[in-house]
Order: sequence, then structure tokens, then C-alpha cells
Amino acid sequence: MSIRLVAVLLLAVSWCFSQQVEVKQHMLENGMKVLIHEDHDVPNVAMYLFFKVGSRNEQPGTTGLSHFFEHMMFNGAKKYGPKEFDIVLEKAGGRNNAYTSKDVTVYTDFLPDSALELMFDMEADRLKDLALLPEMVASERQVVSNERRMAVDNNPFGTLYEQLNATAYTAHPYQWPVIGWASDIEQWTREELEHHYRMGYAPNNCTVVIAGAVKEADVLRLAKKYFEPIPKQVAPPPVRTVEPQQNGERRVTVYRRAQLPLQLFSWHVPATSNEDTPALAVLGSLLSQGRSSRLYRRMVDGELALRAQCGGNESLDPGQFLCIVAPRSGVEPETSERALFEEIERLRDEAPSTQELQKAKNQLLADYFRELKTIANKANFIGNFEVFHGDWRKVNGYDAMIGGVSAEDVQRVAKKYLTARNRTVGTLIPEKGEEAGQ
Amino acid sequence: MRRPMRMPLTWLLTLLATVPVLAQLRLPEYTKEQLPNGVTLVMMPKRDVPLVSLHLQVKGGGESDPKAMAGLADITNDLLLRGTSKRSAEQIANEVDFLGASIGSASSASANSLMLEVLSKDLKQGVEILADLALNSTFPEDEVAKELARALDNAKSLKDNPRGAIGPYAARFYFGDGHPYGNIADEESIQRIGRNDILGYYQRMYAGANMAVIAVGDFDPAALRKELGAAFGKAKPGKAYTWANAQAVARGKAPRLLLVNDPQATQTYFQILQPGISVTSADRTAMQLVNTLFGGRFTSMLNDALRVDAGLTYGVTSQLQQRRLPGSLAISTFTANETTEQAIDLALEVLKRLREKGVDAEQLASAKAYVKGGTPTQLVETNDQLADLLAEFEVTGQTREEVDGLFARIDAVTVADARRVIDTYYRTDNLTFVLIGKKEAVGALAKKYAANPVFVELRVPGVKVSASE
Repeated sequence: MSIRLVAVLLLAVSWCFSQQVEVKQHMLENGMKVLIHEDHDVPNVAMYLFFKVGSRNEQPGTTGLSHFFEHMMFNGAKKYGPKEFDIVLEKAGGRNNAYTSKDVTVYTDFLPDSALELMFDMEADRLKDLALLPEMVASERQVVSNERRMAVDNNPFGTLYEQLNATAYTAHPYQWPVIGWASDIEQWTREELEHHYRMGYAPNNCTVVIAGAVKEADVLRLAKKYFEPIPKQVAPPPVRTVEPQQNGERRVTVYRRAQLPLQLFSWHVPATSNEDTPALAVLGSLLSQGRSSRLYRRMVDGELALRAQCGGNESLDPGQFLCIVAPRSGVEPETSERALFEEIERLRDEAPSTQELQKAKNQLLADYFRELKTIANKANFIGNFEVFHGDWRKVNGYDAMIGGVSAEDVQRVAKKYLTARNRTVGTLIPEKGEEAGQ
Repeated sequence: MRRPMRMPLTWLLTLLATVPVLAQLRLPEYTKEQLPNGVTLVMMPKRDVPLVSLHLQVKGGGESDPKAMAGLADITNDLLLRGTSKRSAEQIANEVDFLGASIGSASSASANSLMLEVLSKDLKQGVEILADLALNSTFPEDEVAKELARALDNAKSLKDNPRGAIGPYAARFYFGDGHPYGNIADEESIQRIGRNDILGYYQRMYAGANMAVIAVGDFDPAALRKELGAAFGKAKPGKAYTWANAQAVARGKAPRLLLVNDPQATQTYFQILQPGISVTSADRTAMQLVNTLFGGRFTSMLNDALRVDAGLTYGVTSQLQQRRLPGSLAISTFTANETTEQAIDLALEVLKRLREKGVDAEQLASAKAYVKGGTPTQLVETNDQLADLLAEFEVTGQTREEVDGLFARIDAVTVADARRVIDTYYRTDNLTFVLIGKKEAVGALAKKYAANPVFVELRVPGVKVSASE
């Protein structure tokens, strides 16, 4: 394919983005930021509340507190008592969920437009006057223990990922699991929960995104009525610990009864807001996005692995570039590992062709555009850009950010970050003797 | 994450029975016609984003798998991406990726599908690629060998995640081998499949008489009609697939129980199954509402009792299969080894309570609002959702009335209707229990629920559901 045609194609993909995502921004007097995106395609609304508090704000002994707290936010406040948040919302045609990561806790509400004011009332109630009833703490503790058993103990990826992080990080809080160590889940106290609430749930630590069938003026009126009276508080203290530079490969092995091995590879990379993030995204795409990607062809099509995927995670502090490899039966982990390292070396040593680079960019941009198809995804996207990139406006600069990555940039970040001394390797090895009768 | 209740696929269909709160939901206009060779074309122009979703559907799916070769339909469909008379697997991948298009293959109980999403400006190329994959696949020997080996390893690795493994075990034990929904692909059935079987299946099934192409998105209908007609007009007419005429699974004369031993498990996954309905059942709307209240949302009776009040699980659902043939109605959850008995007993207790008390007018009103409120974003928000829906109509024979009439059907459901479906379907007698857990810890419970429990090992090849296999 000619260079000219390549340029035309990129132009076409970019054209989608020239339809800017329009957001109206308002800052309430208590420091809560309100971002409004109108979209009247369906008569529904997505409301996402982003709190900049996650497992990175925890301490040894209380790991998992942020995630546990996420659960407790549904267990009763002053106006809407235990169970009522869900009962009232579902009766009004809405539903909700929430998620916690290393960096943020996000509450997600999905509702018909008729329930908008109710939603503000209920969110304000739990932000202002959460009850933290002891009997609910006891019951929710068991729910979270069950969640941990499902997501970590009975899941090969969960087991290995937890050990990988505990090895890759020696000082920074990213070393412990978001769900928390089992012993901590059993022991944290109501006082610690209260402290977490005061610290993390300050309105000035929150960005709320509302996307869907709304009018800006209505949302603003409701935000002022319900959210603005919540008093400003002291936001979480900065996370001081900086992970020291890694100067040698680290390895961790987990034995487990399993049919097939599993491998995880982690390299320390800068925080999402860093200027190298777009180049790392393109690097990840070249390696493993789509069936024409390098790792798919070499490892999946080459019968070394069932899957081989690489990419970065969003993070406020320096995070990781992660590869997941599931070796095929009969393939020694050393073999699949070597293939992965060779592909990374190849990217480091030889610049990708113009066409291959363009393909990766087209994929990233098209994917990104697909993410904007639903109001829920839009709310999440706008909030993520505000929190992790520092400004929601960068949503509309994404095409330029990706488009500006050169082959040299890709090589540069590969050389800088994807080195042997900066990596941590986790390997899950199936234990023998699990077959019946043995 | 607070909610494990990610909607299973069956739920998407269940949601057909739903609409928004304020206005009637109405599907956008679409056209449907048949080419002389039998290919059905469905086009729904929708101009909000410059993308088009193309959905190629071939009737048959899992139902059309030969008895000893479960997985044949799925594997054949996946191989469509692995080489045609015009393109190698690598060329297909390069072309699709370069366009920034997305392509996926899927095989459901009743149909095989290829889903391609392209930018509107690439639509002509997209149609050409899709038709090439559907009509000119060559199934190169090396690609077939690789695909079969991959499928085998995937079947093996499923055992490493009991959460994923419970579905196949439950389906095979509940429906039985002789029923199309019980004919489950595993290591053994995959090993019986050869390239000739794949070629035979392809030639038999990927014919005009079985094929539908659905387009939803931003396109010029006249131009697209011409492209589709030219590309898919080349399909050979073939013979229409005759649907399996399977009997619904009758309630047994005694309770049954299967325990799949996972010696390292710290928790037990379990399902409690009984006969449900088909997607076209006259009871579907009332069932949808009752099931929402029983186990279809966070405040459901089951989740309230097992998770919120007792802390026994991370989540529990009642899953109502909605397929072409009558399916199962299943309570599904997991709990720690030591609370397994308590959780099963409590689930049964909640079921008993539903039978005794039924649902009242206030509960029914809440279910109606909930189901209506979620529908727009779950069913008709994106082009791909709409394309999937229109494709499903081709399997079930449903029409736009299924969506356009939802509000009215929901509004019409009375407390007495709810009572009637509870009496008919939500029963406590002769249930089927399927557990994956540590036999050493929970095996002694088995006889409490069924007189002749069946014990099998998770880590032996295949999805075994009887001790003698």
C-alpha cells in the first residue's frame, strides 16, 4: 500500500474524532467538579462519581479498605437506610455498580432521565451522612471474602497477578492487591472505615460526570442543590513513597493445580500523565492488538501460546507495562518467554515500517472511537481523562496524541523501559499429580 | 467491583421483554428482503456515528453439531477468518486491522455469526471482505490443524476456572447428551473432528437458504443494497437447515445431583436447575418480571437473602434461558466450602417462599419500572446491539412487534399472571443440582439433596457427567 493511501486512511479515522466530545465544566463552591455531556440518543443517563482514593492511599494492615468501603457506600445513610439505595433506585428504573482500582473509587449509576433528581438526592445522602452500621460491616466483610476467593484464590490469573505486584514493587503501595490481603479483610475496624470516609470522600476529591439525556442547566441546578452544601474537607495526603528504580530482573513462581501454565511480565513505566504514554500505547498495539500483531503471529499463530497480550494500565503514580502469556500445552514457559523477549528486542532494534505503525494507530483510534458509542463509556472516558491525564479536554486531543507518535518514539520507549533489568517475571506452574487416581 | 451480575447472554434476550419508562420503545425503520438464492438482507440506516455494523448469520449453531462432534459449528465458523480463495489468514488480519475495523466470530445455540464493524467510508471493502469469508473459505490444512489444537487447549484451560466450567457441566447434566443444548464441546468431541467434517459442514450450512446479512449504521441504503446483492447473490442457494425437533426436558421423577470434584477448591460453585421456557413462550413477559424479582437484579429475593443479609456469597442470580427451544431456569452462585450447605438451603428456602407468597402489586410495579428503565441502553443503544437483535429475529421468527409491543405487554402483566407462572415454573420438587467443589469438604452433603448423587473428577479429559463414562 502506498504512503499516500496510508495518509488518506489515517485522515479518515481522525475525521471521526473531529466530532468533538462536548463537555460543560462547572466547579462547585466546595471544590467538586461537575462535567456534563449531553447525548439524547436514548432517554437514559449515566452518572459517574470519581473519587481519587484507592489502594495506593492505604497502609499495611488495612489493605483493601478502599474496596471494602466501596461496598459500604451502599449499606445505609441518613435519609436512605440500609438496602434503600438499591430498592429505591431499582424501583425508579435505575441500577448501579462501582469499582475500585489502585488509584480511584468510582460509583456508576445508570438511570432513566426521569430519575435524575432522585439520583442526586441519594448520592448526596451517602456522601454527606453515611451510617456505617456495625451489623452491615460484619455481613459485608463476608461478601468481600467471597469476592476474594472468587477473584484471587480460585483464579489462576488473580493468584499470579497478586504475586507479581508484590514482587515488582518493593516500597510503593501498588505492591498490595486492591481487594486486600485476606488477613486484613478479616480485621479492619469501624474507626478505620470512618477515617477512610473522611479522607477519601471529600467533595473536593471528587469529579462527577453526567452523560446522557440531560440539559446542562438542570444538572447544574441539581448539583448546586444537592452537592454544593456538602462541606469541603481535607483531601487524602499525598502518597510520598516513590518506588526505587529497579536494577535487576525479579522472578516469582507460583505452583498451583492447573491444566496450563500462565506467565505475566511487568516493566515499570511512568504515570499515565507522562508524555511517553502515547508511545507506549502504540508499542502495545504493535505487539498484540489484532491478529496481524507481532505477538499474535509469532506466538498464537505460531502455536506457542493461547493468548499473548501487552499494554499499560492507567495510573496516577509510575505504573507498569504488562504482558500476559498463556503457553500452549507442551510448550515450556522458557520457550514462550524467549519468543516474547525476542519480539520486544526486535521492536527496540528495528524501527517498525510506516505501514505497520499506521496500522497500529488506526486500530487505536478506531478502538477509542468505539468506546464512545455508549453514554456509560463516555462518562467513564471523560472521567478517566480528567483524573489520569489531568484534564478531560485531552479526550479531544487523543487523535493528535496518537498521530504524533513516530517510529523513533516507539523504539525509544522500548529501549528506555522494556529492559531486562527493569522487568519482573511471574510464572504459574501447574502442579503434577492432580489427575484423578494419582 | 460491587456487582458480579454481569448479564449473561441469555439475559439480553430476556430483555426483549422491556422498554423505557416514559415513551414506547420503537425500533428504527428497517427493510428486509430475500435474494433469489435465499439470502435474507436486513438494513437499518442509523446516522449518528460514521460506522456500520455488519452481521452475517448462518442458522444452525450448536444445535446443528453432530452428536459426537460438539464444537464443529463453532470451529468451522472461527476458521472463516483463516483463509479464502482470495486471501490468506495473514492477509485477512492485515486488511481488517489496517482499516481499524473490528471482526469477531461467535457461535450460539442456534446460529453462527461473523460481526464486522467498519467506518462508513470503508463499507464497500467491508462487504467484500465479509462475503469473501462467508462464501470462499478454503480451510487450509495447516490452519485447520492449528485451530483444532487451539480449541483443545481452550477446552482444557476451562477447567482452571470453575466459574467458567460450571456452565458446560450443568448444561450436559441437565439437558443430557441427546438434547442439542446438552451436546457440549469438550476435549473428546473436539478430537473427533477432522477437516472433512469441517468442509462438509461449511458446504451444507453456509448456503443462501440459511444466511442472513444485517447492516445497521450510517450508509446509503440504495448503494449498500447494490453491494450486498452483488456480493451475497453469489452464494449457492443450498438447502435450508431443518431445525432439530427436540423435546423439552421434562421434570424428573426424583431430584438429581452432580458433584464435580475440584480437590483444591476453597469454594463451591453451584446451580439449581429446573425446566424454563422458550424465547417465544407466551409466558415470557411475566417470567421476565418474576425472575427480575426472584434473582435478576441486586435487590432480588435471592441476592437480598444470600448476599446482603447473610454474606454467604458475592452474588446470586436466577438465570432464565431464552432460546429457540425451551431451556432451563437456574439459581446460580458460589460460596465458601464451609457455608455450602447453608447457602443451598437458603436458596431453596427463598424459592419456597416465592411459591408460598408470590409477588405483590408493589413488587410487580418495581420490576416493570426496572426492566423498562434498563432497556434502551441494554438493547437498542448501539449499532451492534441492534444488528444482534435483528439477527436473532431471523432465528426466532420474531418481528419488530417484539420490541415495539414490549411496553404494552409489560403493562398487561397482572399479579395473577405472576402467580400463575410461579406455580408453573418456580417449583421446589425434583430439582437438578450441579456443584463444582471439593468433594472431601462438601461430598457428604450430596445425599441430602438427591438419593443417588453422581461424583466425577474435574481434571479428567472431557465434561463427564456420569461416573461410568
